Amino acid sequence: MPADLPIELLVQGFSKTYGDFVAVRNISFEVRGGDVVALVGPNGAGKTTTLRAISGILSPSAGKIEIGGVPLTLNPVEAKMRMAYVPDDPKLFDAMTVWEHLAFIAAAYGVDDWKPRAEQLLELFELGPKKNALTMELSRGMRQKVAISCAYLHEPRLILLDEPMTGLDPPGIRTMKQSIRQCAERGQAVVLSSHLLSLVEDLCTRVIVMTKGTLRFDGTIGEARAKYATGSGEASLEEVFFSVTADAPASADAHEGPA
Amino acid sequence: MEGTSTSTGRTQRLLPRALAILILLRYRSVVRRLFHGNAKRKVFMIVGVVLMSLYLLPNLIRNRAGGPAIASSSVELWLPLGLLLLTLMQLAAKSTKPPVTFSPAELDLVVPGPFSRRQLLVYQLCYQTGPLILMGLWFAIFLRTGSPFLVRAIGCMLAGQCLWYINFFFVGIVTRFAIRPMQLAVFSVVMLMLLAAEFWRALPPLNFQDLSKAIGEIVPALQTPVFAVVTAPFTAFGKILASPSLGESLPWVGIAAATNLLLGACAVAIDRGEVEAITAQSQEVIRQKQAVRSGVLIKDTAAAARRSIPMTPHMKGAGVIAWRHLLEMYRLTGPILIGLIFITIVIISAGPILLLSTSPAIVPSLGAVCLLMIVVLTMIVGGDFRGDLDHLAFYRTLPISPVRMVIGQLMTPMLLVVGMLLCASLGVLIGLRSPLLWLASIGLVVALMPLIGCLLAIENTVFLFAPSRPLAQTAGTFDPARVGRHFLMSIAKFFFFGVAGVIVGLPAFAIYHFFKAPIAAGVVAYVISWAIFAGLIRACAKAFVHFDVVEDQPA
Repeated sequence: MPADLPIELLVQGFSKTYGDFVAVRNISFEVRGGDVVALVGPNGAGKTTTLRAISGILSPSAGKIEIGGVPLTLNPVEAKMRMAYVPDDPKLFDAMTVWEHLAFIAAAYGVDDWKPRAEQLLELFELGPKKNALTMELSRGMRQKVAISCAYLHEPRLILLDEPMTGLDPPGIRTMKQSIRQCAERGQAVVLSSHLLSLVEDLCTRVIVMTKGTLRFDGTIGEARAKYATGSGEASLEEVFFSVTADAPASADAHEGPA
Repeated sequence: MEGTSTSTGRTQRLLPRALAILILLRYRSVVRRLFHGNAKRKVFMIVGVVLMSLYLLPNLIRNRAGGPAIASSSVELWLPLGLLLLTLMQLAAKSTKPPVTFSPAELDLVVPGPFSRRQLLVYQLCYQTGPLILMGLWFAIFLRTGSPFLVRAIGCMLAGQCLWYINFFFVGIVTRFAIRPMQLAVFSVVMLMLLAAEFWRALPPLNFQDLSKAIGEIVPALQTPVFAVVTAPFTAFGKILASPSLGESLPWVGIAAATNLLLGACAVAIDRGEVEAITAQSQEVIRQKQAVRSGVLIKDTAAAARRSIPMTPHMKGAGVIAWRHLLEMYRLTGPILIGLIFITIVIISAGPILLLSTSPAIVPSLGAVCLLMIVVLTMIVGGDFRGDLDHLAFYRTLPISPVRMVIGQLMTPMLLVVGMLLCASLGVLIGLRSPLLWLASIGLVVALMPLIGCLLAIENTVFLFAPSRPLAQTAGTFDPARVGRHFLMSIAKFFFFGVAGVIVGLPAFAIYHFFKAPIAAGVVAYVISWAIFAGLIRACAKAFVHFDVVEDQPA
């Protein structure tokens, strides 16, 4: 973990409930610049709820969320300026072109001289030929690329990606992985949720395992492997996943704090 | 339901067990969906059910108490004629469109499943029985003939089923024999013309001075042998609804049911492309629903993409949101259509004004029409939260304060409504040829701007509090919760306007009454109106902040 870089995301005692149903229960973690953190867990673990709360879409039922030291609930505009969120199924404006989406984001985030950066992103994600096409004409993967380009445009300190590889073709996946690494190298913090454990293993510096709304493990991939090592040596991430998410009763000591 | 044998010797049911179970599960899901939802929806549901009960109860009581009913002879004459007319109109209007569609889930799970085409058709035919029974019961409450309620319900149900099966049958004919839609349309129009000619031929000279007598004289012209022949397939339905008891209706029920069964069997027997037609129709309906859901119905996307407008001033984010809506509006309509709309408004407003220009009531009438226009336009105009349901989650991630977000959302509809009213004011200039009155009408539009803003803010606040989708009602079920929502929201709006009216009116009236200063009273009222609008923007912003994209997002 790059301890010298500032904390870009602080989640403390976050819970989200719907009536009697607890979607996320009292989770805490922090993410520093340069970190690429994976949120993994089975379906319904609370990963998307957590990401949506961090991005400001859902209000927390309890707890504190800070983006770059700015409390999300007290100063949402300032906090949101520092981050970007790409949902698993991005809803673009159908009657706007790809370029207009970038113009919209640049205006919303107050990005000056955004055009060279936008051109660069279009080229990176092979969207150049579709620059002036309405997004309603684009395929699922291309729409995903537009959403990612919009997220990268204002160079946020924190990038939240919910299943970022969904719908992308192999070149798109490679570009996406490279771009995430570059973000980390530039000191940006990335939090992504994914079911692709190979991607997590390949890309992430840390992994947070959630199940049934609780945080069950938070540490580096190496720590996870060592902790859940089997008799034959270090555990694979898949083995870690199944060990952590095994149907054990959630308890206070089930939550492993950051190493 | 047993059917043919397959090559493996296994008897192939016309309606496999799996599809029969699916039909029952779908009925159950309809009921479950009605009662599913958060606390708000449950309240709307209760209010909706109470309102519908209050509406139906007097009719049910009147049904039990007896009373005036449509004469049996009239039912026997007009019902078969009506059914014939509906059949011909059905043919002329949508001859190749199947009466049913598969849902997206059915397209993915049932159509590719191990079912024959006939089984899929029978499945569709059987599934529709439930809605037809409900339709029969509904009509039986209001259609009061001399027959008992149950008989009326059966009759209405069978009549509806007959029309439905005829549609299905003609879809089969069209797909089997490659008949073009136009051919069927021409056939139905020719049939209608021939029937009109026969009616005209048999019509005696009428005395229009006594209208009821004249109507009575029409009847023999509809009872000629030609009409008897063409309405013969529908006679049984009229006879059912004219039967004084269940026992007497039974033979006709049998004939009607046999007619329907024959039609259904024919539709299934002649099937060639019905499943394909239903599938294609289903995909088209899904596409249209998605387009309406996103608010975007563009055919020529390349031409639309070429139309653009420059970015509006930032205004701490409000301008960006307004730009997105204005751009979408401009792109969806285009300059020609926008021009036509505004020219039409000028013409529509100038015409009546020109005709009534000498009337002393012209000025108050114009004021009333202006108010009515504002109320209607603010309810239907787009370009705000109401057309942006799917993007609310995205808006929440933007670094724009809720108040600025609301201002940005309200800007486009406000501009549209004001623009339309200003166009209508041009009608005043043309109609009354008075520049002074034209200037006065422009002044009126400016004076009414806070009202327009208040109405739009209320519409949006109400929407964010209890959102609904434009096509939700066409999902195939009637939802009393929508009735309840509409009622409660209307009450809330009226209550607000009562309170706002008092807040604006009282100080203005006091100034006018005690100081005899109409201008000061007007200025005070105007300032208070803007203050109320500002308050409503804050209320709408609060509704936006509290909108829960998980709990409040309707299907």
